[in-house]
Amino acid sequence: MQLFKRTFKLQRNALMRLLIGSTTLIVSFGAYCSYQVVRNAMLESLKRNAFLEVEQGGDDLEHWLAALKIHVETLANTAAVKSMNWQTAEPYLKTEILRFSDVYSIAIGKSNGWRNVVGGTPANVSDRAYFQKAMTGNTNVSDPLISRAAKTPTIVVAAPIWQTLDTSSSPSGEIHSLVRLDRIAQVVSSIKYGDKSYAFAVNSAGEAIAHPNSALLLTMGRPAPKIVESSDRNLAAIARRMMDRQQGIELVLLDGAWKYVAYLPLKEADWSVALVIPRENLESQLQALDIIAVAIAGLAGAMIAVLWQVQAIEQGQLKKSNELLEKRVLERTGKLSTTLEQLQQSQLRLIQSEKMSALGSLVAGVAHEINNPVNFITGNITCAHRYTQDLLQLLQLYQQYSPNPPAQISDHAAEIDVDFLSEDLPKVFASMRMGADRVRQIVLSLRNFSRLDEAEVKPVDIHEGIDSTLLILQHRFKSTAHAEVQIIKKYGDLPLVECYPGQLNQVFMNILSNALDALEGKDSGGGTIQIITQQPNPDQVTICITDSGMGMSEEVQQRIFDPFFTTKPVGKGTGMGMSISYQIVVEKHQGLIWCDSAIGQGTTFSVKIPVNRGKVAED
Amino acid sequence: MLLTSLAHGCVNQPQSRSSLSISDNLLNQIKKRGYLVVATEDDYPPFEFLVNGQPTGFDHELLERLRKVVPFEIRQEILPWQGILPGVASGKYDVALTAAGITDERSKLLDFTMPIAESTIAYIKRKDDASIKTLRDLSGKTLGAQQGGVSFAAVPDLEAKLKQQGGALGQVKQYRNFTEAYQDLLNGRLDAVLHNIVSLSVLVDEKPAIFEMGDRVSRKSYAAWAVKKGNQPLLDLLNGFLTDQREQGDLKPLQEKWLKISFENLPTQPLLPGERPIQ
Repeated sequence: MQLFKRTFKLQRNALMRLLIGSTTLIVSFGAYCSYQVVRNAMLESLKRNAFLEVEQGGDDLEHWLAALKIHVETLANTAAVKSMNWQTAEPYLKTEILRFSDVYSIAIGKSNGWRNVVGGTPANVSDRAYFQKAMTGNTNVSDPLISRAAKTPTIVVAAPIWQTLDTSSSPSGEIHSLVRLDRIAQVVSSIKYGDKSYAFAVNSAGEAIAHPNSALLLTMGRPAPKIVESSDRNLAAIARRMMDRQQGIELVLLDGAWKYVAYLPLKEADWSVALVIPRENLESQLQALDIIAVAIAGLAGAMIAVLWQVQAIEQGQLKKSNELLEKRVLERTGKLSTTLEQLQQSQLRLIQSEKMSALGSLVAGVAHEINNPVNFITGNITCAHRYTQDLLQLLQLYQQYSPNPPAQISDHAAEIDVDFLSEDLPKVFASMRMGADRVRQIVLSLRNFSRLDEAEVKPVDIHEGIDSTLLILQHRFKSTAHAEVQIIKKYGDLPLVECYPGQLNQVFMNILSNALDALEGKDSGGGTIQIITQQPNPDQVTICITDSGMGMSEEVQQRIFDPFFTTKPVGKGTGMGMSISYQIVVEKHQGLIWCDSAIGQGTTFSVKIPVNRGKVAED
Repeated sequence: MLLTSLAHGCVNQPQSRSSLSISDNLLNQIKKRGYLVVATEDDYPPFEFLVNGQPTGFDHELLERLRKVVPFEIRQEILPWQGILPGVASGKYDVALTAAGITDERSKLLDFTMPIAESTIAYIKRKDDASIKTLRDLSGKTLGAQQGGVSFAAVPDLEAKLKQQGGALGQVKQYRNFTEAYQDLLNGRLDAVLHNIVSLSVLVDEKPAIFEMGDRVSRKSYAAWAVKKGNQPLLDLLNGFLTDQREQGDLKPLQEKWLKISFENLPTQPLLPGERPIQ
């Protein structure tokens, strides 16, 4: 049952742990998934924002370029420009240069490629792509170039000049405004997304047209290096996609750090603009979420820990209470078995006492029955002795006064040996008297021992009890196999002791018969039994019975007063003798009984009982 | 005790990065409030102006550099010119972080740092006008200046210079704003426009095809940052910063980038027009 319970408990604990563990796992997994979903959604939204930023910047750039284009187209449609007369056009163009802040100069090219420019000398630009495009009727924005007039990195916005409204005809010339390259850089650099972010733009050839790193830009001394051919493969890959007019936002490793790059192609020019954002700028806004997630994870962890702890404590308490319960059960069981044992003992004692009482009654009855006939014998034996003396005196007188009797008498006298008879008869009587006396003595002892009539407490001479007991055991002193057992009595001067004499006699009986057994157990067979009585103080008497027997071991001594403990062979002892003695002395008489013994050196049983029961009770 | 040692730690760290020294008193004041307030102008290119709503320009870049070397927060208030100097004089802002011309009148209410630029008046002419090559050639020419502005105030200086060289001041036209003056210069109504040297440098840099830079026409005058009169610790801090910029050679490229002109040997003290020391 206990084992089953324990197994069940173990199973329940395992189940509980499994349940908590799996719930924790499921919840954690769910929380982690939710966190990832939310984080991704937020990141997407942030990326969209970043992309919107580059779109916004692109839009600004587009508007700026569109304004430049419209400006040039508008100029191309003015009469002054259409006239293709430089003297007419130049003053007008000058005011336009002043008016339009981004334009540093304006030029008008004729169809043969020769152009006049404000603040510069005429030159042929027929080799320039912007010129060729404009002459095919397209307004266009050039890639960065070094202006032949100002010798500075420039972009050119060129538009065709038509004399009529028919734009399908070939233009009569072109007009182009010159814008410094760094103007684009200014516009592009205003696109930002937090600290350390920067924007750059590339043209269709993959060259930088605006970049915070001026080494990547076109200068007077050298052409612009191509970003697509950059040693930074990630940057080159981005530039390639920008050249292919793709748009998007991606996380790449640039200059040794992870950065988001959002890129977008422009419509007004064959350019693409990109915004480089340090990863943390974008993801810093996820920090709150991350912190919350970490906090929740921490809380969950703490909760789990607490749950485990609580469970552990509960289990500990359960275990403790179980142990307590088991301990109590054991205690109760112990008590019950002790009680049962006591019950059995008292039952046995009852039986024994019944037996003893029956035996006592029997002995008392027999003693009484024998007492009367013995009294006849002892009472009459004196008379019989006197009568026979008288008869013997008469016979002597006959012999004296008739010395010659008839033959028949003298024959008979010879036959019965009258002389011997008269000599032996007193001896016979003495012997008979002695025998009768002994019978009387035994009967007295039996009565003394059983003391049926003395179940009450009464003052008794202890010595009388001891003597009676010895008398009853007399036969055993003589029947000892090898040698005589010598009884040494050292009786002190004892007062009458208030006690249950019958019961006390039983104690002496038990001790003495054990002493005899001990002597019999010895190899030599014989020995001494010394009985010492003393009155160490006025209230108590001690009776010490020492035998010179084989002695007892420590273990035996410890158990000597236990019920049913015996060292005797089966059938010889009940194991109750000393137990009953102990009860009689300790419980009935409020006395003490103990033994001192050593193997091979004999045993001493000491009994100490109070002289006056009332006095002890008062103590 | 712990707090003061912490504060010391905070102060010492930036100091070890640069030679900038800050008086404990000033630092405590700033720390007490938590920040320093500087006022900059909203539309004063190339010194301070907005591009797409973002402040930029010469002073803004200097401010960014200043932020990196001070151990406290600097808040920037962007407002129209008219509000800046009165705001600093009244203590509303700590620094007028703008190119404020050092004048006698202003120096009564404000303390100026060492100059960040010249505010001397110069002239521009049309690029294709070959008749003006030196200052002497302005003699008898029609000049444009801002009505009631510093440029107009420089006219007596110019007149004196012309007289010195045996010339005479021609007609001086006054304009509400320079755009009109430039327009008139372009279409020949004016022969030269007087304005401060930085504005003209920037203009000529932008429009090299039509305008050309001329000489200084007035006594040298300077522009500097200003603090409330008597705020010596703050003035020392700013001067320390500007000295570092100059000595490390950082100021000249910045001038070239934004002002399109660099000033060699700017004085280390604020000087009134005509290079007079402030009494």
